Amino acid sequence: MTNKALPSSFRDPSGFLFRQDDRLFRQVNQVYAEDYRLLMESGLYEKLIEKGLLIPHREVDIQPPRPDGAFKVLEPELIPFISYPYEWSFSQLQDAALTTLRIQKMALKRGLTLKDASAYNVQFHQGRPLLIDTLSFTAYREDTPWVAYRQFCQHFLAPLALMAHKDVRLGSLLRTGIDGVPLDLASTLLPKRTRLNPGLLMHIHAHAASQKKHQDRRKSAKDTKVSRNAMTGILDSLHGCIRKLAWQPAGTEWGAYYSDTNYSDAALSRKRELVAALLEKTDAETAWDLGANNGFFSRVASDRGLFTVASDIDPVAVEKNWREVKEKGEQKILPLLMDLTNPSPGLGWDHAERTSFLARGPAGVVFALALIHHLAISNNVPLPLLAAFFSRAGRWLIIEFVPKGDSQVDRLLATREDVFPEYTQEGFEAAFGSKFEIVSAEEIEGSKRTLYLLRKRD
Amino acid sequence: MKTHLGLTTFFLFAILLSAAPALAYIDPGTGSFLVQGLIAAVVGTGVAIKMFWGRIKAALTGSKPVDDDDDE
Repeated sequence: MTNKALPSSFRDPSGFLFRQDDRLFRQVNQVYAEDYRLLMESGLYEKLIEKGLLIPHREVDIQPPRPDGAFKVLEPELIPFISYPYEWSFSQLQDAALTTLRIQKMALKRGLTLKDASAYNVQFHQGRPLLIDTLSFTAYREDTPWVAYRQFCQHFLAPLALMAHKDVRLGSLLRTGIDGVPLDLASTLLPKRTRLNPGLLMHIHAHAASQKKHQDRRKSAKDTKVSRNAMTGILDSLHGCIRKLAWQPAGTEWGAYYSDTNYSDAALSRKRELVAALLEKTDAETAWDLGANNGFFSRVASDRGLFTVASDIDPVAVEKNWREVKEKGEQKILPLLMDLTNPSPGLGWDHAERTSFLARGPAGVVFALALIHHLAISNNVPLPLLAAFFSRAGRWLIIEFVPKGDSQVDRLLATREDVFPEYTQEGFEAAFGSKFEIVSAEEIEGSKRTLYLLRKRD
Repeated sequence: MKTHLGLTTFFLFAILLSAAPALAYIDPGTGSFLVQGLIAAVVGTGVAIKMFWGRIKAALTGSKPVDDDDDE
């Protein structure tokens, strides 16, 4: 028996997550006992589970890893893939924010309050955002301000406002700071006109000014009173402000990719059938579609019941994908923003609070469709390094080789020197053949491209 | 509904009596607390007016006051 506390689970003295024999558990400490009872007995837990807003758990009778001060051990339902706010599209972050506010309002009605409002406590599970930290609730005391207000504004409101009012790429600031976007930075970066927006004026600009004014902490905030009604007003104001933030996905290189490529509708659907046929030959239960665009091919996997991560570098494509997930109520697909030339690293304390992208794998099967030429030519990655990367990403690989002479590759080479003599079909097979067994290679009708099914060598 | 309200009242009362220590393990920030006090003054009035107006409307139309929470 081995058990190991998760490196991301150390801040809150209420308890921590640990793995034991490939199962995930949460130790709840005595110090949290009263709050836990209140969560379970006030009806809040039941209501949140009914609404799909909190990860369900069961109490288990196993030895807690740190018995001193232990109260209970819980086994939460597993989330198949942990994602981070800097990997979400605008609407994913917005939905996570609105979910947090909704939970806080439901908690208040039952005499509890969220003691933190970290965006990392929200995960996408079965196509919906939900809270994964069962220990986030504490007893509400009348007339006290919201302890998590600053964190909520930093983790949600500030990045969303910057994405909506300045540039959607500013969502990447969440990757820079482990505790969200500092409000003084958000206030500086936001256009002046946002001071005319009452919500942003109060929750970002005035909030940042107040933080600056009181940064020496000489004035005590202990006597600050916020009535229950006022707290509801603050939550409603945050809700309205965030709901009105809007970003229309348009105007990037990839936004209209499928209506803009050299594939006709018929060729696309043939390629889809080919991918499906290759997928049937694998025993994969999870898929990563890398360079997934709007998830057209990801759905070949997710529609067959494989849990599928559909990552793309383009915020427009990921946004469109997420909107489709919501519209169709899809449960098996998670759109994700990811630049494969610089994928999410290990972040936070000891590089371990937030896990790198590859460390969250491997996937059963990886799709790399119309992708490799971008990595090999636009980013100069030699084929052997690509083969090594993909061999760490998944056990099976469905990969499209796009040769020179293809219009898309020629476009990439049009403005630069061709320094890629090795980039040939033979070079591809040699490089990938050292890491993978070539199970099949199918030419894609009407193109110079080949679709490979590869199985990782043991 | 009645049982539910009763239960909530009971727990609220229990909390006030027991005053369990809230584990504020994150720094709420002095400035963030103080600005909430100011914002509370602005938006709290709005909520009070909304609730008051809801009750008047309900009394006039004979219907129950609308609870705008979406968790019921």
